[in-house]
Amino acid sequence: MRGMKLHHWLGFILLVLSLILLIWGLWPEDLSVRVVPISPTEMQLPFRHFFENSFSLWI
Amino acid sequence: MLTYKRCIKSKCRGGKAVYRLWLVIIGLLILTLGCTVSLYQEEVAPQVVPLFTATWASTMEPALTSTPLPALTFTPESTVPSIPPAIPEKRLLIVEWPKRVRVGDSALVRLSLEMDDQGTLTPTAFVEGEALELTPVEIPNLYETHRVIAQARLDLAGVQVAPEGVMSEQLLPGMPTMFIWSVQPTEVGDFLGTIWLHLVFIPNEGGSDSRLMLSAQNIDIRAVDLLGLGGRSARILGAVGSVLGGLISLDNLLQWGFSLLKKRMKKGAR
Repeated sequence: MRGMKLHHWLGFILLVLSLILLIWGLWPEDLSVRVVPISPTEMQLPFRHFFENSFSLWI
Repeated sequence: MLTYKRCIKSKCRGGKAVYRLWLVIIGLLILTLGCTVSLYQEEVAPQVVPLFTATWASTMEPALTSTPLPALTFTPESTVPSIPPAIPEKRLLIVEWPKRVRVGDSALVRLSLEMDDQGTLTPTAFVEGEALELTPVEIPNLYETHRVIAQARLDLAGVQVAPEGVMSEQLLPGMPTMFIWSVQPTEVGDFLGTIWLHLVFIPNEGGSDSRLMLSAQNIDIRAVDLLGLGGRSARILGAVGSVLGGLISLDNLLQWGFSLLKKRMKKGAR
């Protein structure tokens, strides 16, 4: 390393900085995952709608 | 009571009145206690209240017959369900989003409605007295009577979202449903958004649609940069700089590395 000239040092620094930029630019994104259980009762026909339809069917 | 006895003994005029007052107060206390206990029991043991039953019919019959409206002729064996139809599946709502996105890059936000491992409907518990009794409840299958459409929308202010607006997909029995958005922040910052998921029930035999809000999930995305550079700029500069830096310094670095290796090998030979 003693024999390295200034432009070699500059080139080395440029290489390091560029690699940092490249790694940052290519680093995969962290994903957040949320899992929410849904029961059948939550996917039920709304009561008002059911009521109206049932009543209209009877009459 | 003491007052009453004292009053009786002392033969005062207001003795009976005070005694009656005490009785009223005690009666009110008992009534309040009874109401509280009954309310508590109702809270502890929630039960499905049938909408229309034979009891309802019998109590309403006199009122209906007195009016010119046609008589309701449903019988106990009529097949009108007392519980609204439901989707007989346990599902999992899975939301995936990136915590951090580089400015200028695009990332994916996913919302999926997967099937649960346990699959289909489970029995519902009813508390009768102190014993817990498991009774399977026959909830009518919504798929048989309705077309179910899942509608999803992503609201994320300050970030470009594609596609915009509402996405719709039919929900089929046992099949997962997935919605995917592409998000692209154009500036640095923290962005909060909401994913809305609605179910739309369209009756097979016609009639009005019904809309149910199933879920509203909040997401937060942080848009970042490095020294003012976005993702694309950083990658381009990084690639160009690596090539240039390598060309300038790599030959010298390799020479230095080889010389270091030779010295160590010589030392090892001695």
